[in-house]
Amino acid sequence: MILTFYKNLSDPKKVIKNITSLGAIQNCVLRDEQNILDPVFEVASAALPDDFNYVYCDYTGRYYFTGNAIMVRTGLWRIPCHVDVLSSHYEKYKTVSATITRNETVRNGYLIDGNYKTYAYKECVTRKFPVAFDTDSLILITVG
Amino acid sequence: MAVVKSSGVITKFPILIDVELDNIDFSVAPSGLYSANANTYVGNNPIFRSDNAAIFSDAFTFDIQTAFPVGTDLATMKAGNRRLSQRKYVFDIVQVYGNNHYMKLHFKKIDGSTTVIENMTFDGAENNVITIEEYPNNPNHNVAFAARIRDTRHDLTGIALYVGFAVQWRADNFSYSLGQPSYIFIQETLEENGDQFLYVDENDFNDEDYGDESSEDGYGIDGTPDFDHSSDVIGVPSDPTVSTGTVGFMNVYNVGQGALSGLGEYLFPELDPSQWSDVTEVLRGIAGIFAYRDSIQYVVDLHAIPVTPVTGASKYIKLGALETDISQPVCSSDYVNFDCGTISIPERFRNFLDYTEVSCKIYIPFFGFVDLKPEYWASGSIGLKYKFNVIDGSFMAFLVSTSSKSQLANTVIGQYSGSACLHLPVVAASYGSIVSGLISGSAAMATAGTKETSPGSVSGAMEGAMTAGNFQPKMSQSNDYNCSAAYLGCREAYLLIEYPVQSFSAKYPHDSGLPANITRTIQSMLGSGYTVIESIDLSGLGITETEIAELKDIFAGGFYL
Repeated sequence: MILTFYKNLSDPKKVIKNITSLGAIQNCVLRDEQNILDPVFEVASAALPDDFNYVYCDYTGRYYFTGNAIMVRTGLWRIPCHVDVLSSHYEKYKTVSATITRNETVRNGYLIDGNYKTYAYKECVTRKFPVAFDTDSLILITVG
Repeated sequence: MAVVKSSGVITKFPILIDVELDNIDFSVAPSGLYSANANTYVGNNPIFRSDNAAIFSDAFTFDIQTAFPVGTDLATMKAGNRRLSQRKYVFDIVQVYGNNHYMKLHFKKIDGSTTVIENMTFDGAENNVITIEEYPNNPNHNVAFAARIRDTRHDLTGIALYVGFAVQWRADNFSYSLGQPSYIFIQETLEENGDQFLYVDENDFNDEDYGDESSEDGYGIDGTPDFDHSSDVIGVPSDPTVSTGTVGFMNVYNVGQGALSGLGEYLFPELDPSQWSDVTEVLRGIAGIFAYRDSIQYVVDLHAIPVTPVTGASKYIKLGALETDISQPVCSSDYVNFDCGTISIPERFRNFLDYTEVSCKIYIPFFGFVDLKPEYWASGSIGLKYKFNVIDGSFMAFLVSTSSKSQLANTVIGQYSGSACLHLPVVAASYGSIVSGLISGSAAMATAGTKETSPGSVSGAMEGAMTAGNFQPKMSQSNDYNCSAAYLGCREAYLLIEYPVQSFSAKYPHDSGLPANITRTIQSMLGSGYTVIESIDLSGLGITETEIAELKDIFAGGFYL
């Protein structure tokens, strides 16, 4: 099992992440009963790459966020991980069509946005109509 | 760069869209509408879009021309060892408005022949793209296309489409192996503005343009309206045909104050018995006093109104059988139309705030304040017109609305009756009637709310659109025969608008996203930033249930594409 170590600079919720490869280590195993979504990898290596926070496991075919690596003994490390479902399965769900509820760039401003903030007070503006009543006429009505 | 021109005023088909290709730097591979690797567009904005139902008939044509400027020597525009050889035109019908989507498109190449290149029946399927490739030997080959659309079911009300134009490079030896195809794309957006389409540069969009509507709305199958929702014009009525003049008993004069003084002196002259030299003159004088003074009973009313009546030739004032020697203009019509004008107020925020958070009242002189929905004036105009009755000073005020958002065009959206009349006492009896009118006027004020919601005072359209409470006048004036309070009120109509004060964080779209409500594939939204998908079907993808649940949580909570 090969673990490829990365430094991830992207937000965990970013689909296509900005990652830098820090190298791969081949002697990796999953001990005992392991959940592939939250596995703990055992890595037989004298040292781990510096600043890694993200790995790819060729065996599970998934990307993982890493927790704090634990040195079990000299030359053996345990790395708790949690699967990055966004990046791991992007190729599977990328063609799925869905209703985009909100988006940063594609937007319809005339849809009511409950999160939008306004002040507690309002501005009052008056706008006059162009023509006012400015005359008086006397009307006399008689019979005859 | 590619320049897109519309034919300007869009009132009827055919519409001509010229695509002029000029100053193209063929050494640079642009990106945009077409990706280099997959011939699928990634742009969002149709080059041409029309959704004005009024401009469509049951069958129409429109022309699209793509051509290099006449005389352009494309051979001199080559870069390196490559030259222009292949061109690709793509017409993608993305949306059709109407109950049914069956229509025929006939694309023809206009190059001397009019051979039909391809027919397409738009049946609501997703793939309605026509791609036409040209391999001209002559680099100066100009080509134009015409697309004729026939609405076979006579219910087409609009169409939106993309027009793509791609130019591919090849080597001089006609090998396909050199270079990746470069595409010139056309992505300008034409935005409807009244009857004209104007250019909108994508680069001009910023946070302040939050109000731009996305190209799809989320309701209905594809945004197609279920019926013709355009408004019929309900205008201000014409004057009644019956008037006092047609009755024949009454005389209506537009008198001046000097004439009134003269009339008083005429009817009540100073008596000087010393001038009566004999009994005959005494009897004649006494008889004249009674005859003249009795003539005052023929004065029906004397009142002031705030408008100038329509008058004809001057005539001597008649009181019964008595014709005085005082001449005054005669009112030739019982009715006077007075137009306070129109106010046009654009949307302030260009988003939903203009409609949900803005409240407005209109002050109608001689009537009071009336609540007014923003839909009736925002993105349009609101006008106030009066029709006065000169005889009794009563009036009907008409609110006339034009609004693109509300589909209103010079439509009367409110009618309010009242009286603007200052009665002047002529004899003791008339003063008494004024006092009694004051009492009855107060009674009328007490029931003003009830009167306001009656069918006669509010148009049917307004009754359906607004609650009766919104139309209850916030300030009432007296009416009937006593209108002194109304006559002393403000004589200028105006809007009193309460705007919200928005707090728009510059990073709000990035941190929270903005409402979109459109259907897209996730792949097509790559690079669009923060996204929320409240619900998505991820079945059949080979993803575990636990991961699907986590994916859905992430999509619903917001993520970055």
